[in-house]
Amino acid sequence: MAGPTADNPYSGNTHELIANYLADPTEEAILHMVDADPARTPTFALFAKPDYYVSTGGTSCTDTTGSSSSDCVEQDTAYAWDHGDYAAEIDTNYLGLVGPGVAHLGLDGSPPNAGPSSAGPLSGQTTVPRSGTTGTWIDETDIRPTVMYLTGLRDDYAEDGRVITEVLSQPVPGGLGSPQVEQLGACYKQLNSSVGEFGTATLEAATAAIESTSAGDTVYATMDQKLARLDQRRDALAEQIKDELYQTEFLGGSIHEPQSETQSCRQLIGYADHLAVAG
Amino acid sequence: MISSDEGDHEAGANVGRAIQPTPANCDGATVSGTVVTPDVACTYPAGSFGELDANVTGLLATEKSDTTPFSLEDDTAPEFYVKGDPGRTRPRCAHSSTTWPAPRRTTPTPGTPTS
Repeated sequence: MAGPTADNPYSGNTHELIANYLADPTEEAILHMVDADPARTPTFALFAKPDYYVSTGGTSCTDTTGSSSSDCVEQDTAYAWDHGDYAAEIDTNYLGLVGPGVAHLGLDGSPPNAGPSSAGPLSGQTTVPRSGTTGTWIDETDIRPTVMYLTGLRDDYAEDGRVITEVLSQPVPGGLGSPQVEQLGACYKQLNSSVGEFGTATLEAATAAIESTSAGDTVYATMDQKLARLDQRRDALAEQIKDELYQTEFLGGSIHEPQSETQSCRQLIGYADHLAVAG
Repeated sequence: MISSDEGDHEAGANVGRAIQPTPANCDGATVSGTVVTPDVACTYPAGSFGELDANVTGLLATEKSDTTPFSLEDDTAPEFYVKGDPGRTRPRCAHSSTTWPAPRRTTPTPGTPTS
């Protein structure tokens, strides 16, 4: 079944699919979009190609892309900088740190003219893991624990992020700066971030399953069960890792088996990757 | 500490896309190390710049003959709330989401498949 399409003057494609990815409640949970109130859980979420802004309107429109409100797709020259979507140039960001306790590292990663951008024939179609950026991989949840650590403060709850030990100038306690623990921290990011390897692979697997048209929705139902079980295993391991990191960063604890946990982490990511490729 | 909350996708003409800004050598600025210098400014002819606002209600009705009632949070990544909160395997609900096929992944990323 062909999906809703549009003519895109920027890609040059006629009747291109508007959707890039779809997430049902199971995948939404993996992407941290589900909270304690079930009434807030969307029936499904659609991640459009980022040239598009999706909204509701009348059921009667002309199936064309143009400048008239009667067109099903209207070019809006007042807005051109789209965000809040899944695309490497949207989801890849920078962080600059300076101050007591921060090492003078210079640029750690891709320079400004080498990161993901909206140029090129694959504009908006590159995933974060495949975008080719270099340097220490962090996400925004890591900023708060890092600042708290640098200021000598701590929260009374385990953070979702980790202290970015790679940028610290002073030795850190409990083996936090050891290669083994930093490898665990790096894998934890790929496991728990919505745009890391795990989140990306499961989103691709969920999309393919939702699109499937098998009799009785068996393909969809089977994948949904696999993803639900994988989500439970991810949550359990991520909870364990982040608790241990928090205990070590702020409460004098230590991580006893970082290599074993890293191995478990890579296995879960590998399984998600397998689901994305093989279903 | 300095950062931004997220990046942006430019919905418009660009280098390597089907339509490009003018003049052909425009680059906006040059970057050398950490130094950004203004250079040849780009201009965008009519029809080459601006997000594509998709009326999903109209597209579903026009292209798919699908008038399943729903509410929506407008966005590039909109969240659909199908009226009546049907289960995910109800035919009408499943129909609404499966009318949105997206490109399939064709190449694997690094990883160690375990099953």
